[in-house]
Parts: sequence; C-alpha cells; structure tokens
Amino acid sequence: MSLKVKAAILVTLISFIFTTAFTVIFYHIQKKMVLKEIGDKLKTAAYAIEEIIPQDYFDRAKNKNAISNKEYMKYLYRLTNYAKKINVYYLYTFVIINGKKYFTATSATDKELKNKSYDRYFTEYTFNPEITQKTAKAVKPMIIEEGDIKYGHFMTIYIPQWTKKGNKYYLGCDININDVHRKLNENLITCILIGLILFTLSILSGIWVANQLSDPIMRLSKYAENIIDEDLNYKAGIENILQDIIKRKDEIGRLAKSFNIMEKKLESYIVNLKETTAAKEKIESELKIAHNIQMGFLPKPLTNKTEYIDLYASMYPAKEVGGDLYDYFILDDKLFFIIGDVSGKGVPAALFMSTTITFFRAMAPICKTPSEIATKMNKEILLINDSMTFVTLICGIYNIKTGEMFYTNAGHLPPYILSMNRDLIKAELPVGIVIGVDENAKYSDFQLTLSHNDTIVFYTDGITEAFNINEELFGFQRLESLLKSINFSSSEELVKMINQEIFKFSKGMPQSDDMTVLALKRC
Amino acid sequence: MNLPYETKERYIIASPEGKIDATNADEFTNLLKELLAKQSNVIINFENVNYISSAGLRSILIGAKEAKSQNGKFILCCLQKHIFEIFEMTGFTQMLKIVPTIEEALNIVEE
Repeated sequence: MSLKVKAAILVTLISFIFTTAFTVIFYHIQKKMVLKEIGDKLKTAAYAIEEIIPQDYFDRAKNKNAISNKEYMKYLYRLTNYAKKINVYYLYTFVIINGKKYFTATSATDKELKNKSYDRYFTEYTFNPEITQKTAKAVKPMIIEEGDIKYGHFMTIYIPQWTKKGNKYYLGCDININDVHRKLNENLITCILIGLILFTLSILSGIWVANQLSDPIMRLSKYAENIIDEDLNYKAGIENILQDIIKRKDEIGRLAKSFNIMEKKLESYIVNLKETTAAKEKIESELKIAHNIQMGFLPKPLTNKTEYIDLYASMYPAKEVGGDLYDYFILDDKLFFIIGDVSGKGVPAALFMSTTITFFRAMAPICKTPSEIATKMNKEILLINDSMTFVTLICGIYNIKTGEMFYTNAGHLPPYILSMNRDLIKAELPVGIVIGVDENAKYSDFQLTLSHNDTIVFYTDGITEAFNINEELFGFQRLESLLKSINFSSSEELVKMINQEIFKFSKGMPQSDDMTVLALKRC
Repeated sequence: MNLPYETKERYIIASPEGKIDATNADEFTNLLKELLAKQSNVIINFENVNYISSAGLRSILIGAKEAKSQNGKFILCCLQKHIFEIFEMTGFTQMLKIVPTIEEALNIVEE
C-alpha cells in the first residue's frame, strides 16, 4: 500500500471520528437551545395572558357561573387572536379546586370556533389527573409534555400565579408537539448537513495535506526507481526534476539534498568503477594473451621416437600465468628435459619462467652433463636476478634407446619411478641449491636406468602442496598411494589422472600454486 | 600478516605464525626489512610456522641477503620437521644458518 493511500485512509478515519463526535455534541447543544427557545416562547406567551386578562378576573373566577358568558367570550377571542399571532396552539388559564382542574379562560382553534366546540367557562379537564395533582403543588413554572385524545399532544407550560388577594390560578400555553419534533428534526438535519460538510472538507484538506507531505516522497522514490531501472544512467539529474523539493527547508528537503549528494557520489563511483573495470578487463585480456603465449612456450607433445618413449607433461598455473616450467627435446637419441618451479607465482614468476626455459634451450645442447647445464643456468640467472627470485629444477639427459638417465637437482622435489609390477621408488636426488641465488652453488649428477615399461614421474610442489577445504596438504603420502593405485595405459592418462585427483582433493579451494606433472615411460 | 617480535640489545627475535605463502610473502618480506633496519642480527623463530611456499623462501633469502650486507646474523631456529625438509630439499640449509633451538641461535648471536 502506498504512503499516499495510507495517509488518505488515516485522514479519513480521523476525520470521521472527529466529525461524528462534533456532530453529536453539536446536535445536543442545538437540541437544548431549541428546547430552551420553545420554553421561553411558552413562558412569554403564558405571561402575556396577564396583559390580556385583568387581575380581578382571576379573583372572581373561582367557581362556576362567576363569569358571564359575554366576558368569557371577550377574552376567548382576544386570547385566540393573540395565540394565532404568536403561533401557539392554546393559551388558557385554569384553577385547581380539590384536585380538579377547571378552565377559567382559553383561546380556541379555528375548528372549535367554527363548530362552536370550544370549552365553556369552568369546563373541567378530566385527563391526566396525576399531572394535575403535580400541577396543584407547583409553585413555579413547569414545562411538560402532555397529551390527551380531546385536545391533542403538546409541549405545555403551567405557571402558577397568585392575585394580590391571594387567589391561586394558573397560566397555560400549549405548542403542538409535532411543531417541537419538526424543529428538532430540522435541527438534526442541519447538524448532519454541517457534519457532512465538515467531514468532506476535512477529508479534502487531509488528502491535500497528505499529498503535500507524500508527494515529494513519492517523487523521490519514483526518481530512485528510475535510477535503478535505468541502470544508473538516469541522466535527467535530481536538481532539474526535484528542484522544488531540494529547496524545501524541512526534513524532506534534507532527504532530497542527501539524495542529490548520494546520486553524485554514486555517479562518480560508477565512472570510477567503469574505468577500473575497463582497466581490469584490459589487464585480464592481456593476461589471457600472456597465458596463451606462456602455454605456447611449452613444448608440443612428442610425435617422433615414440617407439622408445611415451612422454607427457601438463602445467596448470594457479593464476593466468605461472612460474612452473617444463621442457624437452630430442637430439641424437638423447632426450633433454627439465621441470622447474620459479618461486612465487603470477606475472613475475612467469617472466622468470620464460627466461629459465630460454636459458635451458640455449645451454642444454652445448653441455655434456645435466650438472653443467644447471651450473651454467645458475650463473646466467644470478646475473639478472636482483629480486632474489629463484628456481627449483631437475634437468636431465636420457638415452631413449638404453634407458640410461643422468640428472641433476637444484632444490626440487624427488621424482617417483613406477615399475611395471607397480613398485614405487622415490628416486634418489643429489643435494643441490636452488638456481639463481648462490654464485658458489655446485651441482652433481646422479644416474639411473629405466627398465622397459618403467615410468618416471616428475612434479612440482603445486601437486604435493595442494590444500583441501580443511587446509590439509595433499602431501607425499597421498601422492604415493595415488601412484600405486592408478591404472594407466599411457603417460598422458597418468598425468591427467593425477591432475584430476588433485582438483578433486582441493575442490572448493583456490588453486594454491602452479601444478606441473611430467611423466616419462620407457616403452 | 602479523609478525610479533622481541627487541633485545643485540638482536631481534621474530616469530611468524601459520602459513607463509604467495598471499603474504611480500608483506613478510617488508616486515623483515623493517626489523633489519632496526637491528642487523635477526633470529626467526619458526616454531609456529606450519607451511612455507617458495614465495616464503624467497622472503627468507631476501632477509638473509639484507642481513649479510649489514654484516649481521640471520638465523632460523625451531623449524618443524616438514618445514626443515623443505629447506633441506631446496638446498637452503647450505646457504642459511638454521639451528634447532633458540638457545643455539642466541649462542651464535652472542659469539
């Protein structure tokens, strides 16, 4: 439900309650006034009788035959005229003798005059004896509602009076009760009308006020929605659209101002973000290219001499590019190979990696032993290494026909030899310091011979130091039992299965380091 | 990363904790450099280090090189077995002064 509707409902409810209450109270006050007015009129009319009929009349009118018909009729006409003039139904006087009420003078209605059915002097009023009793005791004016079948239903005043000689008599005046009711009804209708007008006015003004309050908020909210819909490209600008709101000095104005500031900040953030994103995208696309270049740097699968060896290697950088490396090539039945790991990862490591491979390719063919290759590479790399980056590596020269392998180690991890009958041997490694940090580093050569169907597996620490979601390392033990259990028909299959197993192990974790595996099988 | 250390008259003992890998190696390097700017003799207590990657090893190398340039002593002690193996495998045991206990490290500094 919108703010506007809520406010309108609230306003209507409040208006309803207040106008109803007002109407009821107003009606009661008005009713009282109407009744008082009627009472005053009755009183005035009743007292006026004394202006028409002299005092001695009341002294005389104490029993039947005391007043002549002529005199009685004189006052009857006068009272009738006066009653008509002031618009009351009856004007009369009476006495109460022994609890009985006798009219001593009265006005007559037109009908009574016509039919000559008006009351004669000293006609007894026989209805409502209990009221008459009450009247007999009255010492001050009383206003009552009284009705009977002969005269009708009236609002009546009885005023007890005494002549100077002490004779008690009563002045009476009747107003038709219907007139009273009509007046009260008129009053009721007036009150309801006023109530309705007030209700309408208060609703209208309430809605107007609610609008005045909610309209700017609605517009602000609409504006905000637009900003969202338009993907924050809503160019119209709050200053133009909500100018009047911003100028306000109240809370709404302040809100709009904050909104304005927020929008501007948002705009600048977006511009910033777009620039950053563009820059990031550029870097990412460059890194993607770098990745392709790096992958292109690695040797292609061997297709010749495959009757002697089955070699396969893979490298998965932890980021787009990495610091792991491998390389191999065959020269005159000799397979030159290297596997290595530059310290760190990412772009700096990748730059170092490419340098390392380049040095290996350049130097290996002119060296007689792997240790010579390592020593030369160490010297060369030391010259260009101010950053204390280093490379761990194993490089070797393998005779593809005899299965004889010479290899050296520069701080790298020991390879495993998997024989045909599934024996697993960790190859012995000469101790050797990592490449690139120690100018006095000495490297030595070890030798081993692969039997037919033996596979030697080299890897980098990205394999053994893969973390799982519990922060456990994959470790050597897992690697060893994996190698023992794997059934493979080719080096490619073996390498892929190892990688698969590592990815399975570290599922849910970011790859912590570059991963490289190189498997060489003597066929 | 957090690198708590104690400053003594002739040396500083720093005690890194947890993993030293590519994510915090640069920070670790800078912290080591800061320590070496204060004091050329630095002992690194490896007791609470349970993993070190090649990036972390590089930090140590940089520290050792920096200490050497100041004629200071840069000593590692209390390495957990698997951490020591990493230093051994990479040949770092040949280049760095690594001892089993703090006492031995202190003896070297006090020489």
